[in-house]
Amino acid sequence: MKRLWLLTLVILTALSGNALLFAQEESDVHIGGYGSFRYETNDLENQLNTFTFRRFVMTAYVPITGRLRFLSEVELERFRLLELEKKVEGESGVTVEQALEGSGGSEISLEQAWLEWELTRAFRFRGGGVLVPLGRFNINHDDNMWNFPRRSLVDRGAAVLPVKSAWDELGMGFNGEVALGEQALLSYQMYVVNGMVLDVEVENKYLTQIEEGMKRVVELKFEPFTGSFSNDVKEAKSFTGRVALSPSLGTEVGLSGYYGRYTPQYLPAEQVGSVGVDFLINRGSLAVEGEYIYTSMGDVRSVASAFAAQAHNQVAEVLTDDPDGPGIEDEIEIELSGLSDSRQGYWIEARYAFSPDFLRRTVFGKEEQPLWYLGMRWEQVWYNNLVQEAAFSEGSLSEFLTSDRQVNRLTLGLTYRPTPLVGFQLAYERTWTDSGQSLADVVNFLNAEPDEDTSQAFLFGVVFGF
Amino acid sequence: MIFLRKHSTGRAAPLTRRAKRLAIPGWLAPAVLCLFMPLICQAQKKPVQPTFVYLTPEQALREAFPEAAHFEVDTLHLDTGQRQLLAKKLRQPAVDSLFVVHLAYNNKGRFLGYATIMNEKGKYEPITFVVGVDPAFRVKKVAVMVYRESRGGEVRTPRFLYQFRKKTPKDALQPGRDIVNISGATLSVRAISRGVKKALQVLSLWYRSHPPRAWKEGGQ
Repeated sequence: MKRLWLLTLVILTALSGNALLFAQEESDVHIGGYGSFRYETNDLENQLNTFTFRRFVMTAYVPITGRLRFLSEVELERFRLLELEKKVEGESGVTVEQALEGSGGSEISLEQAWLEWELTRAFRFRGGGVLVPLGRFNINHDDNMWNFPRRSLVDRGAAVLPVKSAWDELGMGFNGEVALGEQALLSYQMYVVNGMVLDVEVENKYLTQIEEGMKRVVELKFEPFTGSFSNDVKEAKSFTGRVALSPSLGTEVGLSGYYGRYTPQYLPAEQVGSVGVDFLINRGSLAVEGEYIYTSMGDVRSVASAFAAQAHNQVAEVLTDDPDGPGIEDEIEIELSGLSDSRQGYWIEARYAFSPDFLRRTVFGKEEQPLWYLGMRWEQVWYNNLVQEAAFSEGSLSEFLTSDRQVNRLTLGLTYRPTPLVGFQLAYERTWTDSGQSLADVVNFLNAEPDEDTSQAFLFGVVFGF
Repeated sequence: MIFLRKHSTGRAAPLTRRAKRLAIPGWLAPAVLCLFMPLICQAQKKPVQPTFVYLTPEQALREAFPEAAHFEVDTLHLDTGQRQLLAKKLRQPAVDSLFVVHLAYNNKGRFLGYATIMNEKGKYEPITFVVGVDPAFRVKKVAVMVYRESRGGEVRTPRFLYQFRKKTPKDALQPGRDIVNISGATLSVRAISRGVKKALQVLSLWYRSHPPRAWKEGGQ
């Protein structure tokens, strides 16, 4: 009993000491974050009305010294649960049980994790997982900075960026800024990175079929992904950079690019190259902002041919017959996705801030500086030779179908910000593609039928930062 | 198929009396660890973020009114009615009752304007800055004196502070409307905008009814 009291006393003493220390360290490690959730209703047949917890990102910023700093962002996208259960039993042999449980669409990712060493204001070394400075959205992708619930087509929904935003790569380089007089500022970011790569996504499907019995399908989907954060799979590095000139605060024009090999070492070298131009103009309550990106992926037919030669067969099926019941069918299928010879697109957004007097005495006027924003965003994306079908067997391409496609979107929105870091967004969006063609071929956020070429949606979103 | 055999019962062998005397009690290890935890944490503790002092109060007043030859300190005591009026205009729950204002005069005794030093909370720490206002209650100069935050330091650059020039008490001084925001420094931008607005409102409220007189050697 005496020991127990002593132990309790020691633990309490230690805990109180720790609490004091952690309180003192509060100013050293700055924890922040941002996130968004929304409700969407859509007129597509298979796109069900839904709430989505789009993302929650925790950030940690540590000023190690005046010149050394570290920042990291860990993203939980549509995330609720990830649970692994494992059990090993030794009754008459060994039984191993493993179960992976998770919520649908969930993703955990490291969006940024870099160390910066400021040699001078014009010359800062940065290394680690860095955001690719292509265009202006990817480097300013925090949800609470924007007034529409959905990210732009060019950067996310029909990505002209080689990898959809937020796109980070492992590498190192320099960034900095130089004042040009009292008002103007020239800034730059330049990095060498492992670079995006044609990587595989493995999908397991289990189907019950009324007549044919059970079916187990493994889909190997090869598409462009962020490069490796482990050992690179290609003997080539990529280069990316952005130079921006800001004549005065709130006005900026940027020129950016990305270049590097995207095929893994087991395929012939093929390069991806992107250029981007972006701008921002602020005039009082009105702001206009936009971005144009062009991306070339080289000759994707030769990539598909080389891939076919390497993979040999696209589909393999085995049917196990059960004389007393339905059989089990196993299938492995390989798919090439997200490839086109080239693609280009732009978005342009205008927003107007206002604070109506008649709302000041209502609940909408309670906070210190509430603001309303009326906004419009217009977007277009064009694909040149977008791969629709790439079938192969016995090591050669048997079918290779491409098409030139286009997708447009108009979004109108009204956002209320009781404080700058929190927004309540209402938006209407109309998305459409070539007549008679499916939207599902050209965007990655709509579940459209083959003949559904237009979609209309209302979204109510909430964004927050802290 | 893999087969494993059990080799041990999993029980520890009984200790001899001598071994029992020498054995370290099981509860002691976590207790010692807990006791030393504060010291371990102290060893890992990082240095506190340095505070950047850019201007002393004297330098700040000179920055606001370089042509001034004399400064006179005026302490304003706001009554409850004035404080409530200000709180309503500023949309803040409460406003301090005491404001210290520096009245600037040139060498001929002509009144040049007001300078007041403000402290407004950024994300974690207060930002100290001077607001210089001309006799017509238009902002003449804003300069950051002390910046204590680790991020958002762009608010001290002339290209940010320039936009406050000639703002009057009638202006909204609201980031996103008539003040350009800086991404990553939103709360610092808001703090400075709030402070400048407060300075303009206090000065116009008080000195429209108590205008400063010309300065004379040996007192007014």
